[in-house]
Amino acid sequence: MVNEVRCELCPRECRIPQGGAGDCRIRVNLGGKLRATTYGRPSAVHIDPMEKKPLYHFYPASRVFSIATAGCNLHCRNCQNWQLSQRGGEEMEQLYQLMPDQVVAAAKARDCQSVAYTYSDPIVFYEYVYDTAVLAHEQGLKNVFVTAGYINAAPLRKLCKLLDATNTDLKAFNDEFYRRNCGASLKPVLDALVIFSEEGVWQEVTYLVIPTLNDDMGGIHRMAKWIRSELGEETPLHFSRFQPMYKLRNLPPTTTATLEHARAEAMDVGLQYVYIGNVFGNEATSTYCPRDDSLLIERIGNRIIENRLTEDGRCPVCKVPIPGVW
Amino acid sequence: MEKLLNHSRLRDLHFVVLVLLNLFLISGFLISGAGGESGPPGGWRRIDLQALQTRIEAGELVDTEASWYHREKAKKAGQGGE
Repeated sequence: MVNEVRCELCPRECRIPQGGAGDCRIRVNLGGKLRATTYGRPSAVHIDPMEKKPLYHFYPASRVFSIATAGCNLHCRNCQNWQLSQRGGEEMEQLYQLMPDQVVAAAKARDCQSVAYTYSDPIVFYEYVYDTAVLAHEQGLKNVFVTAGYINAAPLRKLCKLLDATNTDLKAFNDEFYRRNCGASLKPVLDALVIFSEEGVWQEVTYLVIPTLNDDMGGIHRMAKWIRSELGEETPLHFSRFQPMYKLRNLPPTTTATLEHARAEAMDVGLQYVYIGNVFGNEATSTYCPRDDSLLIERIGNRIIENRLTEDGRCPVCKVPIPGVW
Repeated sequence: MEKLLNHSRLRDLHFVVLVLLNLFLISGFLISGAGGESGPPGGWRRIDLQALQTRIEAGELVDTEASWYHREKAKKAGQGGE
């Protein structure tokens, strides 16, 4: 086909004819060139606490300037941001004009230590992330990438040079789940997790536990073993509570018992920092010393009640270093 | 008597039709819910190109060239993005 382009950013590698968009909806072939149509045009701009990403071992309680544009390269039936992620730029009511230098200036003016690329999947607005991340580093800000990790190796390795922390949403440890629930596949996500690790980006992993779809303890056990062997036992893992939404409103919320069972399974495998998220007041939202079990960082929801770590990030009782960027 | 029986049969028939209609709607709902998303191979999407171009002309969206792509026809000639 004349003027057809092939996007090489994510494993879909969409072949896009003139006037068409990639599967992500925002990378569009105009005049035989692929255009990033939401560059500098976020539809979501917020200041969040770092704990909301969630990142529990990276600058606790710091403020994060968070941006997202429309579009996503996954189509999860449980998406909590589907009004943003499952639409193209031309469908959005709200489009801010915020070029990379303006993002950095706004973040600094609001006393944020980091810029987060988040909410939808920042992979699809790669160029905007990249250019903003360069300027953010120049101005002393950190870059946080919250993603599902469905990206090709070459663009990810290039971007990793600019990233300081990432939280990857591992949807399941099961290719069938990825195909049926997200329209994607598992292996590229596992490859991305390994790349983040190899490139030295601080990494935490989130697993949203969805009743009947990915809550079998066998799968959770295998995932935890894989994380321990490929990413390390010190990698924080967040089990997050599912709430019925988008196309999965027929399922109930995850029970606390299931989340606690999943946490116990992962800790039995040897992971040292396993958290429970989206359950207000649960003790497993706090950080404990893996050596003496003392409470290190007490949290309620996204709020830190007390941080007892020493200034150099050690347990105040046994002095063991706690992994993270403090 | 005959009239009463006919009326009763008609009412039963209405009831059966109503039950069948409900079963049809319920099965449709369940099938649509179980359908899931398509697999990973990359396709492309038709979009409202007119709306996109209007918003680009208004400055609400942009036509910044992306990286990480190549032109299918021009690949051998070494053209393309990243």
